[in-house]
Amino acid sequence: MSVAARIPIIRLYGNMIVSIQTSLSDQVVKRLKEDVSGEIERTRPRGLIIDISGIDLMDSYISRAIRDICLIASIMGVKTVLSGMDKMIAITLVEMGMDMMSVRTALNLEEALEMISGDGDGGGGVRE
Amino acid sequence: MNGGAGHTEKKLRGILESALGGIVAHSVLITSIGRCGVDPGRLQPGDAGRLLEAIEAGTGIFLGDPGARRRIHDELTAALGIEAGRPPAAGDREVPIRTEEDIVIARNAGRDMAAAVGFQATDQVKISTVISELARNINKYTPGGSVRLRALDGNMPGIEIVAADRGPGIPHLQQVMNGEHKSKTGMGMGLLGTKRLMDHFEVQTSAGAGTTVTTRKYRP
Repeated sequence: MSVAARIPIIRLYGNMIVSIQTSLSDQVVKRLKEDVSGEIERTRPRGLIIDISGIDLMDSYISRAIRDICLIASIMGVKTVLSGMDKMIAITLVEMGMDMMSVRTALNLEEALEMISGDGDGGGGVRE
Repeated sequence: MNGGAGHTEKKLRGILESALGGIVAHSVLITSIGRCGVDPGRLQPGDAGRLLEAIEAGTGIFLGDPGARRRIHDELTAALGIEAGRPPAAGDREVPIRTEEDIVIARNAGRDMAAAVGFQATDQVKISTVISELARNINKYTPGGSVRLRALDGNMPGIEIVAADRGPGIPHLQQVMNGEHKSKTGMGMGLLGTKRLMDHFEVQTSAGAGTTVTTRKYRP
């Protein structure tokens, strides 16, 4: 019924930016994992930003899917930052007990760009 | 109802085109009309709400920005002649869950009802997240089921969500609710998270007979 949307990957100054605007279905998630990891291998970006400012709801499935994509990129050695989480989603996830602390986060896209181009704390992006 | 056949459809098309572009607008409109079987040229009582919901399920896939969604909601409501300020899904609702799209329909209906009951925005997000969890469990693990939404009034106004399926049941419910069960897909987290977000939560499950989750949230 619905078009299996493909989420575009934008390249900017050697970084990769993925802006998620649609509600994620199984198929879209699966494809995004393949696309992001494939692009990383092919183009060796300095950093990856997953921007979720267009998402108005995250259940545990969607949070896990996004966290997985961040972790895949991180363990491949790419500085990864998740940006733009809505405050109401943040409250909901914390109250649910959903753990996103293994992912580096930024308030917005601009801050995320500064994070990946600025500090020299090496690849990964996982904060201890 | 009036203005001749095609008039309402033209208005709807215009609104969708300005938000989504021609091709996407066309496919959303055609799919929505097909999905709910409502002819925009001959709206019967109750049709407008169903058509609106079908269109919003379609546009929801393409419009991420909540502001844009609200704008399009207002324009569509006006074009369909639905009274402003009254969310279309204020009464009791039952949404069948068969496909992933139904998850979106159910949670949008829940958000509308939560707003109508008077929940604040953050609570509306919590309620639609819970509906998303429960509907997703039905979609992922069972052949089908439904989500029933009921506005509670009286001394304790709020919302009740009943998610029922005819699936295999949850064999290790105790571990799931104790947080000891780890699934690859995150189901345990979903039920546990639901319980934490809501004020009342109960699960009835039996092997082969399906699962019913009943949960309520009361307005603060």
